[in-house]
Amino acid sequence: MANAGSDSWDEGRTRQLAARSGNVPRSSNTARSSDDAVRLARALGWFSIGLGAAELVVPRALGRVVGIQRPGTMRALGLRELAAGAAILTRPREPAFLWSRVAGDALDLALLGAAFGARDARRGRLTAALGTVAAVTAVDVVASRRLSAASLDRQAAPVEISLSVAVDRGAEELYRFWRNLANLPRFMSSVREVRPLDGLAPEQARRWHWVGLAPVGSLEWESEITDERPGELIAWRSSSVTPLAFEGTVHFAAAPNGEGTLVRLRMRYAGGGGAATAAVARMLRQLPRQQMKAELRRFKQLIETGEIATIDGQPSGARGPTVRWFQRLIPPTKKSRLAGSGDQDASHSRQPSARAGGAPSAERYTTAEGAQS
Amino acid sequence: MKANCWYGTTDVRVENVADPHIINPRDAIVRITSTAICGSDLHLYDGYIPTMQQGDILGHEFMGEVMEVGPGVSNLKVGDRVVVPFPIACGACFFCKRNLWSLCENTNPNAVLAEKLWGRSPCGIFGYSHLVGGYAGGQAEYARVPFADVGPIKIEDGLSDEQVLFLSDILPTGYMAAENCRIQRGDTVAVWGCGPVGQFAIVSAKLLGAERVIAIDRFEERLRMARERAGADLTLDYSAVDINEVLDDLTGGRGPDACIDAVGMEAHLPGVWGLYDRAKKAMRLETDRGGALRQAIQACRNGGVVSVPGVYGGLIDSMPMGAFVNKALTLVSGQTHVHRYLRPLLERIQKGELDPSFIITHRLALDEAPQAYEIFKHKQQECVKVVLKPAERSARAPSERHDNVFGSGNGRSANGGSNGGGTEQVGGAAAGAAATGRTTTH
Repeated sequence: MANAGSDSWDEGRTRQLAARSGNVPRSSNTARSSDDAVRLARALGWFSIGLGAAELVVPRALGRVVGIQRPGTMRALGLRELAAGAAILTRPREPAFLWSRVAGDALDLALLGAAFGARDARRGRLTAALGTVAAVTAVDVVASRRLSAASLDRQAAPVEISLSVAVDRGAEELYRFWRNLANLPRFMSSVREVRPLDGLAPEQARRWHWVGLAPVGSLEWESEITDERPGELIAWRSSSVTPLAFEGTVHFAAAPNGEGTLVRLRMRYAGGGGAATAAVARMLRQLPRQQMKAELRRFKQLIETGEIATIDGQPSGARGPTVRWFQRLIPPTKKSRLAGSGDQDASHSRQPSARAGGAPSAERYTTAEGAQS
Repeated sequence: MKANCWYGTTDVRVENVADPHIINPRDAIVRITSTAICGSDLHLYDGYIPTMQQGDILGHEFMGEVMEVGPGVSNLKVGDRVVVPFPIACGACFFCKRNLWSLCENTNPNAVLAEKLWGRSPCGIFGYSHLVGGYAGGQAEYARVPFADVGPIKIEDGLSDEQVLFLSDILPTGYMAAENCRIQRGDTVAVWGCGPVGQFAIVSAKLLGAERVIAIDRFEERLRMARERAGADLTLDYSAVDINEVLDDLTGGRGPDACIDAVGMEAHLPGVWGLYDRAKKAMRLETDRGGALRQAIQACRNGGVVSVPGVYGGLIDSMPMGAFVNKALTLVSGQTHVHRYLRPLLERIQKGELDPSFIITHRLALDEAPQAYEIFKHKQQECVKVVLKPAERSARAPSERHDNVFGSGNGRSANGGSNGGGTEQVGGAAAGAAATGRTTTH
């Protein structure tokens, strides 16, 4: 038994590390073309630095070559070129900086074109220069487009998050708590309600309806349980009727030394699809790791102590403007839900299931087990 | 209710705020009878601890009477007199079960914030910034005490507030600092800083069998208290002597067996190091001034222990890591696991082995908290420790109050420290008035 426990611990750890090192799984093809695009961007960045330096330092010599004798303008162009080069080299994956080169090319072409009109125009040299800049512009456009495509790919790639928390309870008990997904809103701040579908009891239900809190209003989706191994894991994924594609797994493995359970939550949000999905994926990439960590911590608190630590509803002196602004931003009902507390204020009333110690199902966790002897 | 709220650097105000109520099942509401200003509150007052918000109620050393308990609290009842430990602990997690209460995993609602700064989060703490939870503190008339079934310790009648109040923080903190020194027979212990925690570290080091305790400070009244009341064998004024040289001389060139830094992040140091820290701090290149800690590490004997009850919040600069490694030192620190020490220390107080009330120099009304912070910060009127009495509703005019407190009140409570602190009725208006004066015991 002890052996099995340490096996799953190691396995879990390996998985976690793997998830961390390769955050965004991509096909090798996409990866290669993206790397090429970045390499080309770097080269063009250095080209900008070289040209910019020449324009700045030897504007007259350069002017003779291209057929324009305006050292002031040449120096200004040099500065712009240096800035573009520096930006590209600092962030070679950022398409906007490479596109700025294309804009610069357009400016150069315009100036060369204008120079043809001058009385003493040296048409031979100007034509040669125009041809060169046009060729460079073509390269810039191709490189920028490839970088933009790679960037979109990256943003639309599936987001994968893996987190774990050690909870001082047996795996069976935690499994049972989690298998009834209706328990999740008790500690998940972003979920208002989860209820079983098909008229089944929570223990049997495989399809569930979720109501989540969105920045504005609410978001609803359905999920189905795809795998369940009592005391070990529960896996679910979004149903086809749901626009947001995701899958999740929660693993329960004995913690080292037999002290409770290591609960590992893995979520994967599919990429692909349109711009909307890409936007969601982008948001998820920034937000959820920290949020999921906070929610797992609340899960642990609820299980181990019967309540969720909060300061929501406690008194304070008059708050400063920033805090007041935030308080206005988050309406009271949502605020007290976020904290998962049992606010006494009637205007803050919530459904009983989210109330610490309120619902019968919560009774199990309201005794102070292991309190000071 | 009235509460002392933080509004910015050196800006605290006593405001009228909403009364606290039960939020979670294991909460209790306590009517506060005595509450103290901690040296670490001065770090908040001076703006050294980040994530304070305007309106935060300060205070983490308090005691009082239970007014209300949540459905999850069965070991306390309304009317019980309790001292509340400053760390909030659940009593059930990995750390609580290992007797490491200040590291409780379940009581800091802002753990994410603390993890950003420190990698991991400690427990929640009353009135000590949002890094450790943002819990409303105890410099108020009432406080909500989470996990009240785990933390508060019941106090029997017969002991005055002043005898037991410091169980909430500084007595266990000084004691843990001494305990961490793993004192052996014949040991010499040097204590940097003779504020309240330093005084209790000295008392505790003697209790735990140190042969010699050397106290270091620059304020004569604090050094005198260390000698006469706490039991230090020797006191040194660091502004007058070269500490390292004297310690060398006293220990046959070996150094103290254990060094306690009871100063923390706002160390004042003469000379080059003092200027260095002030300059770096001013340029935001370090957050904490580590002068006392550096000196303690430098002075400690080879293989000795450096114990740090002083509070540090962020980064100190020029940590003498070379000294540390080559001298094979042990560094021990931590927010105090107060719960661990409540019962044993209460027993010592009951038996008369210990009377922590000797450090109190000022007894003021809660209304006077802003002045109290100023007095304490600048060590005016030989201030060592301020106790505030919320029950005493100061109806006097400010000028009159001022006279009473700092002038004519003198001498009236001169017996406050010396005879066991039994001069006071808890919450009694008459006693409160009598206790308002500043003691002149020493």
